[in-house]
Amino acid sequence: MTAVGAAGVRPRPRRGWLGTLASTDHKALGAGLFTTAFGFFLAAGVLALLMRFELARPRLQLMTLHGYDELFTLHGSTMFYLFATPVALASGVYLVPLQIGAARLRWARVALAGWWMVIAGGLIMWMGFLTAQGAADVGWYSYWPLSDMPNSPGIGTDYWIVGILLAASAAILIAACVLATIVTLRAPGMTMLRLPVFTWTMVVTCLMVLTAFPALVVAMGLLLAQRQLGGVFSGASGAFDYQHLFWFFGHPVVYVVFFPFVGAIAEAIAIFSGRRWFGYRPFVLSLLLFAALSMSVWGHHMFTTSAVENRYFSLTSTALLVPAGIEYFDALATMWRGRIRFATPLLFALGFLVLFVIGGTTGIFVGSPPLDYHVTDSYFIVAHFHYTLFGGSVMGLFAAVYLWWPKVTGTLLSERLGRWHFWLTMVGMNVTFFPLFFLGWEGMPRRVADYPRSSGWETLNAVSSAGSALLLISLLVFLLNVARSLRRRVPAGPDPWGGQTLEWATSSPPPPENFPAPLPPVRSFAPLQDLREAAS
Amino acid sequence: MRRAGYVAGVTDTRHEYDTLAGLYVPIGAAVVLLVALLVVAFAWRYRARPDDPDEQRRPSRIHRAPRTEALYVLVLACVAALLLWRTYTVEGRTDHAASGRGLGVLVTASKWHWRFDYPRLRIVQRGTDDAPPTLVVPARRTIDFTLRSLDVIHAFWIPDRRFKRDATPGFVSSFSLVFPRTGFWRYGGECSEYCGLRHTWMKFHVAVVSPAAFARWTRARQGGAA
Amino acid sequence: MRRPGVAILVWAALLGALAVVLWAVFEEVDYLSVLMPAFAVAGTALIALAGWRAARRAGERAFAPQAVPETSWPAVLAALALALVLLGLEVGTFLCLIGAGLFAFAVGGLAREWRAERRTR
Ligand code: HEM
Ligand SMILES: [Cu+2]
Ligand SMILES: [Cu+2]
Repeated sequence: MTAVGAAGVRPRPRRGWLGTLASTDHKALGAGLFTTAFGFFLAAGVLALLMRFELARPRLQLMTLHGYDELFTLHGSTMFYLFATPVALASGVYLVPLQIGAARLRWARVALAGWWMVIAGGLIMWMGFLTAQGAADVGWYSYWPLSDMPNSPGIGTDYWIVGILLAASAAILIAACVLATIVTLRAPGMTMLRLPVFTWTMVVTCLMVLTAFPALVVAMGLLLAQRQLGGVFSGASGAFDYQHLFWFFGHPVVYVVFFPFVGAIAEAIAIFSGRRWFGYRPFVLSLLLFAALSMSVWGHHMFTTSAVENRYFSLTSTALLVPAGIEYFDALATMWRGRIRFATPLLFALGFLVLFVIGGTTGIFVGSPPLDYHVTDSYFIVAHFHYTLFGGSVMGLFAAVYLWWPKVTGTLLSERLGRWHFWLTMVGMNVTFFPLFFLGWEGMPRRVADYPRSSGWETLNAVSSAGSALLLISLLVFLLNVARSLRRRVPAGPDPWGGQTLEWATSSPPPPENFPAPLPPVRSFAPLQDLREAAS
Repeated sequence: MRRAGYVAGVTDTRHEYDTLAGLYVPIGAAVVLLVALLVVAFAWRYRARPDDPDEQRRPSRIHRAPRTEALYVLVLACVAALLLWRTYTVEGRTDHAASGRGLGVLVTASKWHWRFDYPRLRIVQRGTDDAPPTLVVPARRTIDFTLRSLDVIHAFWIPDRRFKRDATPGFVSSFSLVFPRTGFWRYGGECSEYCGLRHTWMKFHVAVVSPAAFARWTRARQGGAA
Repeated sequence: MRRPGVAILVWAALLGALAVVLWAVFEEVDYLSVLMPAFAVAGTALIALAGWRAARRAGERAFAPQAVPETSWPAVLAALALALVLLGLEVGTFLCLIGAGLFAFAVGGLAREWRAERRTR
């Protein structure tokens, strides 16, 4: 334990990877959680490729029916519980203290424990593959009674539940730390209405994690009890109760993994347009409305059950187009009459805008029960949610990575490889997922390892599988870029892009205490842009 | 042959779906195209041209337009209202409970088979693991379905009818469909809710026959099965 | 909206309004559809209250000396111990016991860290 110097300045931590594994510095912690989550993204991506190879042609080629069930369960679960949610929160852990001019993360030890809970949870979930009956095979939302012991006896499913319990609790803990940081550790002058846009998206993200994830913990706890002891769920009401509990978490999680990246692309668009984000106050209000609505739409996953008030959930789901429309308006208005520089972060941000709108409009489409009756649980839905999750979250994530990589590592990524990465992803993404809309519309159900030869679905499936190979290549280009950057170490300097928020006012990477020099005055949500505009 | 609209007081779900999708899809496609167009147009129009000596341009410093945004929100709200109004209208029709006057068919889903009972005709259609059963229905007549499951949640989906409904164990749901066109749909019915190992292959065929042919089929089945 | 408590309360109010539409206008009385939104609204209100109180003391705290140790192995151990306890529910009680023991050990370590911090303040 080290004593602390004046003004809260801690001595520089000893370098060495062992120390970073238990570091309470939010930067080491954020980077560690981020890397963990990204590792799970790669692992889940491998499972996705296996599925796409299997589906490239009818019949079973690579695996058994059960193997396929394990794959989609672990792919979806890993993507949500171990990649997207942790990566969103990790971005907050790293960036929020820097954006609000704080020296640290509140309750850092809690977040540290959270990181290790994610690691442990992930390993336990994947341990299922080593058991005799294989990994969990119940789908990422594991409807009861399918997920009950008699129907899914494999212990892999129990491991899967434990993994989720750990990852979900970790998310709650970490979100509490980030929110507490925002509430209590803002620099002088940083009022709530001067929080940077990304930090605002983290506020609503954390609020949603704190209010929605407990439902998941309860659902998984009850499911575990039901499997081990029985007597928790019974009959149709048990089945519906489970769905209510799950989707009360299951819809908001989609926004938890989306809002932070809206914040990231907002920062990227503002920076590379040379303008601050347009319409800040209405945007903040719309963000609150967005989050509140997304907590009120869970029943749209139950339209075909005949057990929910379809008209209410259709109302709230359709209403989502209003805050989403505001977000798009502000993005375009920020570009309007700017001086736009095509750096890689901006490319990914624009890609996000174009791809997410496809996920968004098809989301409004399935928010209409009579339309949802046909396409729900088909490949149309698979296409829809990959446009939101890949086109939205992952594109936004890459925008964030390219934007903040120089800050985090102090080195630059190659712009040329970045452009290759972007275009390959853009093409690969559309080739992989656009055909799925047609497959679903024509009647191909999700979660099938095989389809009839007579169906006429061969071509579209083959195209989709080819697209996933492109996505693999694009990812390899990204990894190459990262490796190259870490080896060459081209110094980035404190502010390579002309940033607008406080993190760009300190060195790259920031020192342990974040801001050794006095902070610039904070008079708006873009303090560095204030200085720049005052000077010209 | 009537192909669209109401048949025997019950909605042609496919017709309803196509009409409603005919509103949603063009609007959605227009929005996607507009966004893509604006993104590309703005990115091009306002790109920085560092080597252009004429470029004295300074980025605009207008950062708010509350009136424009309010107006825009109004437009968005109107679009939402239009979509909802049409959705509610159509849902009112497709959610018709069984009329009680049509041909009753009890659909039973269980791992991993479909079974169709025609209680009034005393006919049962079953399949085997390798040969799924066929749902035989007369064309242009209301079919009152009663749907149940014996084990886990399944879902009854006939893509051609643009309709599906969950089969939840312990819960009976009823709905009515009409089949306007005669024909045979190989694997025209599917289980769309993941239900375990053989979910992939939990399908049935759909045969829509003329009323006369249906009567013949009924007689043959009753004679053969009795 | 300047104060964090207010911003969070605005969100609670929006959530509450949407829930009231469900309950009153659409007359949904399924118990989970009542309980879950009610919990969310109440939870958010509590967070707002806590945030409001914490923010009042925020000024001093933001730059107060920090004695959090650079590394905290007990926090890591607590997380792993918890994982062992949960895993023990499937694998066997012995693992639960080991996990609980390690957890107690971790809590001891955390307590020591806290005491050291108290002293340096
Ligand atoms: C890397 C490119 C990706 C490919 C090629 C891919 C492919 C697939 C495939 C083939 C399925 C199975 C569909 C089925 O059988 O029903 C699937 C399901 C799923 N994917 Fe992806 N995916 C990708 C990325 C992602 C990402 C980034 C996320 C989330 C952040 C994600 C989340 C999901 C979820 C939640 C499911 C549903 C799992 C289930 O049915 O239980 N995927 N994906
Ligand atoms: Cu949803
Ligand atoms: Cu089934």
